[in-house]
Amino acid sequence: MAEPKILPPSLRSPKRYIVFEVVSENKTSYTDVVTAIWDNLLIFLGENDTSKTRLWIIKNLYDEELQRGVIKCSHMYVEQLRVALSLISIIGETKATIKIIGVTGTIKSAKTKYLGGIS
Amino acid sequence: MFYDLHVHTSLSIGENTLDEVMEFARRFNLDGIGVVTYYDGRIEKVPNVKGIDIVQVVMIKPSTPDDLNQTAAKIRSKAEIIAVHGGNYDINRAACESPLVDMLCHPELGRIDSGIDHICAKAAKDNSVAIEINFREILEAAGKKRMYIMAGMRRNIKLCTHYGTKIVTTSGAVSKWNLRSGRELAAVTHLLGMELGNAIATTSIIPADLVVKNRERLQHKQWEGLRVVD
Repeated sequence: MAEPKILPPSLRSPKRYIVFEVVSENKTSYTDVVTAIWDNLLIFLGENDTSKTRLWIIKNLYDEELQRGVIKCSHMYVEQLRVALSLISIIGETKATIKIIGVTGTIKSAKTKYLGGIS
Repeated sequence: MFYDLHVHTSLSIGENTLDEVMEFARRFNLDGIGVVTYYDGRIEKVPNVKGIDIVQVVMIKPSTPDDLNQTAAKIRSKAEIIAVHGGNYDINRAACESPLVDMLCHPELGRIDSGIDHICAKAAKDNSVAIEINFREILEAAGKKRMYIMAGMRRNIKLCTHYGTKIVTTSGAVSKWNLRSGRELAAVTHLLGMELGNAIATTSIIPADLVVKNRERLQHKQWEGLRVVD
């Protein structure tokens, strides 16, 4: 089945990559983190604003050892996401908070600056 | 440089010891924390620690405006920061009208309005009293209650911005898990209607200036209109 073509760069909406670290009593799994983030976003921002954030939690960049991950979102909603993420106090069944390490414009710089990876 | 001027430890109503809170504060890149102790006839000593600036914040919980003025006058020469436990309109107004008070904490506590009006905001500006935006209020509330708190804070920010009153954003943490980094706290104030640059100042420049000014005053290096320069 035919797929839609990737939009040219001039038509793509600008995005930001938020690199976060989970600070918790015990280590948390990717699924627990994703559930906590989505639940808090929907409660705090509501369905309408959450849809505008164009949020995407990048699965293969979540490091369960370092407890670090990357969220892709619209450049207009970085501050709203900061607040929504800081309102998280429980992940799974453990006390936890999410600390934002940095915000980048490309996935490459997110990896090199904050995840210790090679581009 | 980020400061959080409202943190509870086991010295007041907090769950964790000062060491535990400090370890977390360092993790959240805070340069200074205000350790709150309640005034009950004496001022609890807060130990000095290396690596992070510990500010002694004495919280007054007055029953009447007269009680507030008397207590503030008694402890002004000993406390680094004098904070007033807000929520009652009379107390909020008395705190704003007192030059002895540094910070009015959570004026909207337990109310459905914002707790301060244009008279309070103007008086707070004239007397250099900072109005607090307390993150724990939002964190612990949910649904309709959270909505009322955020509406009250939004109104306070609007009033303070209009009159040029100082605002300080704090975590109000009673546990190390309530602590947040200065930039996250600034994002809350920004979301509630303040311009981003000014919001960042509420967790950095404004509290830092308040601490420096009061320390100089305690060391007799600063008086009204006069300051000793080394």
